[in-house]
Amino acid sequence: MSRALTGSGWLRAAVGWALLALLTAFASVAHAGSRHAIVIGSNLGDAGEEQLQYAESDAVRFAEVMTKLGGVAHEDLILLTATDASSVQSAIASLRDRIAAAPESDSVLFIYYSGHADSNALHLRGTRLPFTTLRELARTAGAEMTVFVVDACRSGGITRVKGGRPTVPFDLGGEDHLVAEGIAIMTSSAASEDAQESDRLRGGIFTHHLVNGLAGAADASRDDLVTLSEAYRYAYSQTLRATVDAPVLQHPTFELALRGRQELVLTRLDAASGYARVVFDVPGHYLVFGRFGSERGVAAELDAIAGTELLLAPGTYLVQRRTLDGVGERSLTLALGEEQRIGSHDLSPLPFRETVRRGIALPEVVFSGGLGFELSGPVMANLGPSWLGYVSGQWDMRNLAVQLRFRAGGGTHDNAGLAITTVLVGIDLTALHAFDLTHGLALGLGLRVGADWLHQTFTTTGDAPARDQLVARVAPLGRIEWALFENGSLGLDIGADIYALQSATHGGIAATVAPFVGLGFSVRW
Amino acid sequence: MLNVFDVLSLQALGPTWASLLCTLPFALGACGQRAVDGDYQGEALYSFGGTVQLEASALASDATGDLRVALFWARGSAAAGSLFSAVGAVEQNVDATTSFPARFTLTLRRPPDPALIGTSPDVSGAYGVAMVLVYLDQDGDVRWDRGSEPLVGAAEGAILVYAPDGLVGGRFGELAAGFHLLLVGKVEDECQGGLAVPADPGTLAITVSGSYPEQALLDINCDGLFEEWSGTCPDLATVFEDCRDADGDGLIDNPDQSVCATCDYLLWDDGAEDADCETWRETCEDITDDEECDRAAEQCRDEPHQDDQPSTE
Repeated sequence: MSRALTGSGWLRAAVGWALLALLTAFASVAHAGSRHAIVIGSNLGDAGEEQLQYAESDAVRFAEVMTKLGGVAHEDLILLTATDASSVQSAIASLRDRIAAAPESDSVLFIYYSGHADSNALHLRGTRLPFTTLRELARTAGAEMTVFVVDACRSGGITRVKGGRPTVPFDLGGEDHLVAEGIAIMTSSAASEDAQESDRLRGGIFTHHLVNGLAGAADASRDDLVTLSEAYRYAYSQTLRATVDAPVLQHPTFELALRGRQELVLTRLDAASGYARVVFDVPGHYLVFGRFGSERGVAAELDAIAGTELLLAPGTYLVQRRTLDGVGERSLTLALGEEQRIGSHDLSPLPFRETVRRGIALPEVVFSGGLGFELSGPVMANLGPSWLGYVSGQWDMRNLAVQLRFRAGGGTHDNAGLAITTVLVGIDLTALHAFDLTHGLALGLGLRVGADWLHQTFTTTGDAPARDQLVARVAPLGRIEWALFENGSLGLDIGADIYALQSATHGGIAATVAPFVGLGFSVRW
Repeated sequence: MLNVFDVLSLQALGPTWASLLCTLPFALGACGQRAVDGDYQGEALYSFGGTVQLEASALASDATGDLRVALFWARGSAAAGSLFSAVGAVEQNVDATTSFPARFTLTLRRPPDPALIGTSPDVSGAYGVAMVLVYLDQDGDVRWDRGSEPLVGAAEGAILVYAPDGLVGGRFGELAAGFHLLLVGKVEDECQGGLAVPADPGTLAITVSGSYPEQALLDINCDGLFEEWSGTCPDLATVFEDCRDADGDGLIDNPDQSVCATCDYLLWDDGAEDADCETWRETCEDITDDEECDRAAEQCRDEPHQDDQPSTE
């Protein structure tokens, strides 16, 4: 019976989940004996295939987690990057003697591949390694159990994908490849799906979550052991979630035939060395940003339940917890072997506008309502200042905020001859680009256009009939925004209205400039 | 506030931008009645003008300041004495250093203060009377400063009458509600029943003689005094200085000072007793400010009284 990874991704996933449920229910957890690994990453595939960005670095990450947490000794791991098919064959062959020489009989061989592939072969820098050959090499290596992890895709897409065109699904072996005892196959995507890379994650989406899972995020049982089923379950859910907004959903698949063997432990967290430990006390979706050279990138993205642990290399990180209601974050400096817990009060809420501007909040457009007042210079010379109140609605987007205001107010001026009362009622639209500073402060620059009904009345013993006019105005402005709390902020506007109006002084259209300062409060709606 | 059009040269922006700037306000609005600035005084209620002629040697060669034409309203109620007020007057600068005769125009945008409106037995209807006078605005504040800025000319024979509801009678005949510029004859003729006649609002003639225009003032209530114009008198110190005899113990009209004829009621009688000084003070306070009158009353009491005069016998 063919065990090629064909058919619907959902169906394959369902089968995998069922198997995992059985394993979880009846299998006890044990640690394998000797462990060996061939880890292959190749950014280059066949000629004409798009060069991948992170296939080789994904391989390095997988190799690192397996040597530090997976019980694979450095001398038992062969990392092959920018390699070709013959080098891979030679490497697998070279492990045969080491596996045979291992004192433990319960040996496990991990074969990880990240790169281009089609339905028949891996694509390695212009050479091809047929899956039949790979399976045969693995079988003859002599391990009691072989775990294949393949992060390669089947079809193209909008995102940078690991393949050039739609193709048929993987076929890692012949009819009997799962009949043989002890084979597990974990792939990054189901049939006709893209396996996608993410610049934000700086790696393949599947490998990213698999490695995070192996580093602790997948330890649902909290026994400090990450089993094969836990790792798959975690990688599946996270990969699926991460590709919800992508053009094509990505369903990792899982096939295994342990035939009575105990659940396979992939990594042990209790024996980790070279790591620090972060414990998430509050459930939620977390992003952990770290330094990659001079750049900051996502070191881990995970959905945590209360008590989820994650092992991270010592260093400084920025941890964000994202919900639909907002984003909280804190910086974290981890020393070797240190454990730090992240509780609900450890995260500082980010102002809602900042989350939009940084592109870390959903939805991408946030509406806020507000009110405020404004002190404006004279609309006409010597009229004196005007006090205005306004209500506003603002739509914040990543690079632009648009504010709609309704304002009303005015001022009085007594020139000893008569008293002039000026009333302004108007509407305006402001486009603003803001720059986030620190401590909840942001600086914005923008342009406002609007129109006012200008109404002048006079108190005099003489004759001075009321005057009405519709005036247009445009105003360059600057705004200092201060977040009072997560969903509310104060804004100080400074600018100058340039009015175009009919002036009795000039006998026609005139432009007047009236500086203004405004203070407003707005709250996310 | 800046006026952009005063600062920017639209031509410098090029035809496209200039057109856009000029068109945009029309497209966006700026329609309706023209807005006014903070100096707006209201619509014109009445306007009149004429010429100002400067007599030779009217002003000293070292005189500083601008000649200003202003409207001075007489106090309407004779019973309360006289009061000066420039409320309702509109002044226009006449440059004394440039060619004369110069033209002037006065535009009234408000009626006079109600305190300047009164009645008289021979006239049916309330009214106020103003004269056009000229002063030297030495400090340039566009206001007449009593005591320091001399009145130096007048539109002789012309008065401005304001009747809020119209009037009938007296020397005015029948006037409709509003302002009326009238020409009047000499004071004696007026008080003997001469009628004022309407004047052409654009042909008023002002002569700047350089001295207090006593002869131009009109005895409105025909009492032989000019208290209704007392507000145009200089301050008390100036009156005392100009209108007392040389040894300071008498109150003698100084024929060299025209102001003394009009303003001598501001002086007390020679040898006034303390009670007379107090009576004078009360009258003074009806005319001018209390502090000034208090100081003068104290001076009055300090002067030798009739009883104190040494006997010449």
